[in-house]
Amino acid sequence: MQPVRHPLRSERIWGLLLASPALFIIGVFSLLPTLASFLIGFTDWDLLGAPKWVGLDNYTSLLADPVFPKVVANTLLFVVLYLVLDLVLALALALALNQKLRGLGFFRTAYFLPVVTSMVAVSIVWEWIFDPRGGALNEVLRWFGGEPVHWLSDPATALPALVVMSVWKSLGTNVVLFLAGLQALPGEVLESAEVDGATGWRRFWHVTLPLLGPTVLLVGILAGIRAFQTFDSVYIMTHGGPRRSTTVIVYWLFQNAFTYFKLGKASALAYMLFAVLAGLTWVQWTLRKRWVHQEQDT
Amino acid sequence: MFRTGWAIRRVAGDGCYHGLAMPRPARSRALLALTSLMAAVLVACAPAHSTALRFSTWGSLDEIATLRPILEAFTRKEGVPVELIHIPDEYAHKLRLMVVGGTVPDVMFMSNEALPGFARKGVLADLALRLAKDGQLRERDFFPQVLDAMRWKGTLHGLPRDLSNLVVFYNKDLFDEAGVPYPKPGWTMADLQRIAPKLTVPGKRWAIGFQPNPLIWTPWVWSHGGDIVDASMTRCTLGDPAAREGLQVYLDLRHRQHVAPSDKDTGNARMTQLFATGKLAMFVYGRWAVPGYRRKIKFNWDVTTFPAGPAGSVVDTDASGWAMSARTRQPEAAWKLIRHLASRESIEAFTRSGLIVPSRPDVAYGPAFLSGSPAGSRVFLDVIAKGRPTRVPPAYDEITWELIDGLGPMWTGEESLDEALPPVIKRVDALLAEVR
Amino acid sequence: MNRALGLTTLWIGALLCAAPFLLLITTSLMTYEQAMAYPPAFWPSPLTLDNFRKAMGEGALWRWFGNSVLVAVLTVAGQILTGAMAGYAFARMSFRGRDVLFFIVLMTMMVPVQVNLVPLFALVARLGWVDTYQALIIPDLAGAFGIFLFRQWFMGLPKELEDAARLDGCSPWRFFWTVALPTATPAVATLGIFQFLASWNTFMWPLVATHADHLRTLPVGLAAFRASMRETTDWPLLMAATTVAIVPAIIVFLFLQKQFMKGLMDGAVKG
Repeated sequence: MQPVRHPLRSERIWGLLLASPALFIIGVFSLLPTLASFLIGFTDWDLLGAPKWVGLDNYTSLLADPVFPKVVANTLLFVVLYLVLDLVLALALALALNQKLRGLGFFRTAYFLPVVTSMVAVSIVWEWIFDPRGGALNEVLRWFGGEPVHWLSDPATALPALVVMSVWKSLGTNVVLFLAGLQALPGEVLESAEVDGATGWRRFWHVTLPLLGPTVLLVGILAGIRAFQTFDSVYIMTHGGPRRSTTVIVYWLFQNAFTYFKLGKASALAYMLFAVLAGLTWVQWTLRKRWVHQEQDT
Repeated sequence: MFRTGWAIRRVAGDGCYHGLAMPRPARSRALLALTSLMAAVLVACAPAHSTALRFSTWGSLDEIATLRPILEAFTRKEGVPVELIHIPDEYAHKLRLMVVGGTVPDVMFMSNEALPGFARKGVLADLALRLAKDGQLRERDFFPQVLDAMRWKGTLHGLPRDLSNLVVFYNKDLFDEAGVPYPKPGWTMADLQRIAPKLTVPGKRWAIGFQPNPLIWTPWVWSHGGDIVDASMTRCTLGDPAAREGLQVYLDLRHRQHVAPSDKDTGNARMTQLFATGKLAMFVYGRWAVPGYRRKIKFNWDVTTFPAGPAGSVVDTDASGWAMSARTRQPEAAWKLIRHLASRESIEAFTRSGLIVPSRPDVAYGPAFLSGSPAGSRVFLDVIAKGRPTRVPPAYDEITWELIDGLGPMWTGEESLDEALPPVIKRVDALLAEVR
Repeated sequence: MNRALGLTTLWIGALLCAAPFLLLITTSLMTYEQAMAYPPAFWPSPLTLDNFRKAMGEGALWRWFGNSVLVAVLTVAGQILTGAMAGYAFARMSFRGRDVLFFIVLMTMMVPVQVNLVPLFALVARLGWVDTYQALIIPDLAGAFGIFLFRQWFMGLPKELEDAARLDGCSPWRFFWTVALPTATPAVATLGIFQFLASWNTFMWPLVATHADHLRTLPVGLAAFRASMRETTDWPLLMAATTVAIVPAIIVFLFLQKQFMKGLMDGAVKG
């Protein structure tokens, strides 16, 4: 893509010049903080005084902190519940959308409205839905003769309630991605399967799903990365409670940083999260590359 | 990826100067113009270094509605505009971020729990001299205990608006119905244990509310002679016999005597709602509930002292008031604002809303506080003498979290006192040891 | 999939997606008494606009709205400008360290925002930007996603175009500004809507960076508004304020849907 014919000498300068505003902003407000965060993780710092170098203390004390395993468990539970619900529902809706029907655009738009709405606004609406007295969810339960549930103030239901809301919020994204994946499937294979008499469930299970496998995995990893970073809803709806049952890693990080003012500990925690997410991203990139290339080869 | 769907007309000759490009630069220029316009708006909107005093506070919308006219009166009187910074949530933490960012308000509303954290960092001005020299306001205008709560290591850092303490709200109708005489100031925990079963109708109505919140259960510990941390704030003392007994007595109300509702009984209704709807005969709470109760409650109700334990009836005397930034550029105006807020007229206005126990005896013993329900409002004042401020170690926030989480299973009955307490004590000890 | 079953699934899905929005709007049109009545009413009667009137007055909602618009518009403009310039440079020009720099830019896309939160606040505090618009805008004036998007686009630009321009003595800057950039409208639209929604909805950073009422963006203002009624929640009033916060994002989305979906897929699946 580089010009072959008499490259202008000025191009070297022009290139840097054009890139420099973005590089400057990213360098100062993104790259620099990322590096600083790593260093802060080895200090004891309360934002007001000078940071004190403490080596690996933050990491060792994090591992020894009795809250840490609980936070990790909460986070993993959140991510797993979220992934299962989200992928199953999104796949079902995408399959339903993947037929020639009118109004496809309408449905896609409907599923997408929650995606473009701010998590803060959504959290407030769902707080009202989860309200034990007069909230919509308990009203529906009551029609079916159920007892009111105290969704957000019971340690057993608070986290699942947040999961349900998060799935609702982000479902549209994955429906669209799955739909794109479905539409890209080679039509001949599906048709030949039909000729062979594979219909309905059998066809989905033995033909469509294996073909869609890579997409499911890629979409799943992206959704997982998002789920790991859950914060807004916890901040608005539960403040990490009741009894820390909804204290997920980013909320705890925020608490350590801006409630307890343990910046070193918060930064150490941030880098642990970073390591996990970087790992997931790396897996995603690698897989994507491999599959995209395979597709192009065949 | 975007390779399809776009068509470029052939660039002829000097295309990049005219031809094709002609309408396009116009658009680019529009973008540029828009950007610079926005930048101009931005500059215009940035708060200039004005003479307005910056004043931060927390509080509900009703509280702000009371505050606004008081601030307007100040501006009319002194000619100094006030910029109100209302931070309803996470107040102290946000204030701390403002300290770091160098945007500390000139005047800050502050609780005695938050005060040491700021005083320790030199954020707050010393107000003792100003108060001593002030012509209008004198030290003896305030309850001494309440003024004390605004001191840190002997230095006065704020003028108090109110004090908060705990009393027992009770439903007179339910007492009449059960034929039980009303609890009188000076009554004891033994009295409570004796009358409680008579006031309880299992599954429907309970003698007393139950809140697993350290704020509410601390008086049970104190009134037995125990405490959460020792005076030097280096050790968690919840395991000491006196503290344990206090916790046990409180626990027994729920799990042995069954005179306090369980979580299942209350559902999600706040304890304060249960009282307001006549399902609790008694309820330990603070003055801030009064405005709502005046509006909502249909039955006869009153307040009395917290029941006395072996060590007496000991509740907290916490306070909040106005502090001044040590770095304010307008110390004189800031002091004038604090003086205006702490004046008799202002405190009276706050008091009339029913929300606070005023910091000033001249208001407290007047109609602004004493008239209206509850009839026994004097109880709030009578307990001041024996009250004590909450101890606030540096890791106060995290310790409070720890107490709520760690003791949670104990209050629900999933764990016994012996099971729940040791890990919590260990954890609080560790947090106390982390002194910076 | 069976057609009838498929349609039923779609309708149930659409209904579940829409239900909270319906609830939001009906509640915002109720009186407080009506919303608090038990069992609750579903349809507002009498219908009232009082909540909207009150919300606009009480919570400084307009100010927050204006802040959100200002921040969104400026960061969108900034991201497009810096992203297009850098994307073009990375795609079409050779300069020292180009590939390393682009790799670093891509890497920053991988870093979760929470990692940068603490040092970014410390930096902004050091700059004296706490409680200023700068804090909300300047760190967001460029982003890896935008650069990536524009690079993809400009890599597809026919080389002959460039060569022809060069023969005519057109400077790279001129060429970028008058030829290359105007072709990139789809990328501009995609980045525009992504950044608009990201900016409109972002919460954690403005929560940390601003504290004064008049600098709050809508999400932060809304959260504060909600917190100021912790004891007794006026749901209809709160729902009215929430509606105001939601509507602009939905309108922008409805207009630029196609670009958004496309960007979503390019970012996620290909790239």
